[in-house]
Amino acid sequence: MMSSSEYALSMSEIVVHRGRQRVLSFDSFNLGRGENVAIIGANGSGKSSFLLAAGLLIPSTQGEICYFGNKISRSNRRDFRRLSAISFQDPVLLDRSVVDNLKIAMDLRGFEKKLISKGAYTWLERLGVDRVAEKKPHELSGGERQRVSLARAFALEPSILMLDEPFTAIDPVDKQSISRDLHDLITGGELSSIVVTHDISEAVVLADKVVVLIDGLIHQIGPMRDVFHSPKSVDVAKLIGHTVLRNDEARQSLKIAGSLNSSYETISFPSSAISLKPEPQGRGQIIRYESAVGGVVAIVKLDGMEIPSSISAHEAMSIDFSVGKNVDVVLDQSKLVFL
Amino acid sequence: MDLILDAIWETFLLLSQGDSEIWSITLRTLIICGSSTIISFAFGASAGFCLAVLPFRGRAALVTFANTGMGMPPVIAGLLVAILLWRSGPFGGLNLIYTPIAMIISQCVIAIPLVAAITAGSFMSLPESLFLQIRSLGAGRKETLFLLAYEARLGLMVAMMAGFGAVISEVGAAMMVGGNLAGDTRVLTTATVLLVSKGEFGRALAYGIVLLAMVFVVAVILTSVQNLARKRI
Repeated sequence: MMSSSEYALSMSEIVVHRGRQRVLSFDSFNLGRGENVAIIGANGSGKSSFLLAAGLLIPSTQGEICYFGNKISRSNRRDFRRLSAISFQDPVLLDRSVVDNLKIAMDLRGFEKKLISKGAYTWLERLGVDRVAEKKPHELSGGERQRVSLARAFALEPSILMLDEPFTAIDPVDKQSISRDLHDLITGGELSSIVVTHDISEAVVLADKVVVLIDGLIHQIGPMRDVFHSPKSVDVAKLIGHTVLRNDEARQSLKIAGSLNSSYETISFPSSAISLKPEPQGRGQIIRYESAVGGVVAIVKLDGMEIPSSISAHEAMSIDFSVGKNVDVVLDQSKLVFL
Repeated sequence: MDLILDAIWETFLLLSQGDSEIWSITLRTLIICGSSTIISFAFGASAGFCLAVLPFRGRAALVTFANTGMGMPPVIAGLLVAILLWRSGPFGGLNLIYTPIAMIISQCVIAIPLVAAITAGSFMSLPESLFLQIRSLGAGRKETLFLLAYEARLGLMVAMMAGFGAVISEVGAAMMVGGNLAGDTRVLTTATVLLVSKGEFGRALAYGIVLLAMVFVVAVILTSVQNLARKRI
């Protein structure tokens, strides 16, 4: 077991209240050096409070937080706060020019005066917003604001980067390019990062470990692959986009082979576990399409159950898979999780 | 009708001939009200910032108190200050009653809650994430104050304008604690009241016009600054 000095951030026995409401309560969270962790959870699950507590911006009611093995106290909180940088969901920029936003931040962090200007322009250029350096925040698009906010965070050369829903306020085109840039900047180096998101696809792109937060409690923590393939509870399975069904009902309809796992009450599977084949006499019928984690899903009615199946947008527009068509429903049983 | 025309003619003569009494009273008004505005803004804006930003028990009650103070009748402020500064009152030994300082104190009592309430509102309207972001950058208290004040500058200017408007227009408190002494505590508002009571409408109208012009000039300056700031947002 690693000691707290080997972690960039360690939090133990944490309880956080906002007002009179307890918003966070968990035993332990550790962020390794160079590790990229995603905190996922639904709205109101305590994700942002988690980030604020980890960033030493709100005090925890109880518990201990250590940065690189150093216990955080009231007296040293501000010093250690300077080891991290936070970019908020709605990019918060001062009412100054873009480059001044970076310069002020770097000045507050005590960068050498002669290095500030060069550093600011370097990071604006790396994030592709050097052309708007003299503009004011209200003159920027959502994507540009997010890029400036990220450039400011990186310009501070933090040891721990914290991102709160970095793609919420931007359009899909910007989202794709920013996520690519972010991935390149935060992975493979010394920088440790925490990304708070409710979007699983963002977690997949930006993190290698995931923490599932539900109602302020950590329900599951582990490598991304483990959590997605083996959710430990119905709540986690639902949160990561699995379909959750009663085992006895689903077993016959989906033709689940073998009786080995028949004692489990519930099964879950990702929508990618279900594939559809056009079949006029098929038992399933496509009843609608929905936008879901990872893209489009076709909702198929099968023996009274609604089963989602991942489908490409191209396929969704074909005549074979139009709403009302009958299909055969095939389950990839290797992706089944018994809960 | 003759009364009005005579008054307007007399006003024109007084203003065009540069009546020394008018200008000395105007200068005194500017000094007293300017001092009150500056002091009110210093205390009121600081109090407003604390009310908006610092978490402490009873904050909501204090905000309510400040909001109530926005509507405080000047005569009540004057009465309170008069009781405190009266020769037999708790601060009578300071011999401040019927002095410009007493007038400044009473005007501050009127303006400080107003400035505090507007300032608090301005800071409270800033997003919480801005405060958190500034702290996350590593700003200390002083740096946080300056950065937030810059973000709330439009509201702070409104607070200053409101404070100036309150002190320059009030007459009850100035009369009560200043005594309207010629050459000492007589300002445009109290002088106007006195002249009207004596039926000297021409001179009273001249004072009124100067008072209006003064408020107008200050309002124009502050509004211009405000518009400049707004354009930059």
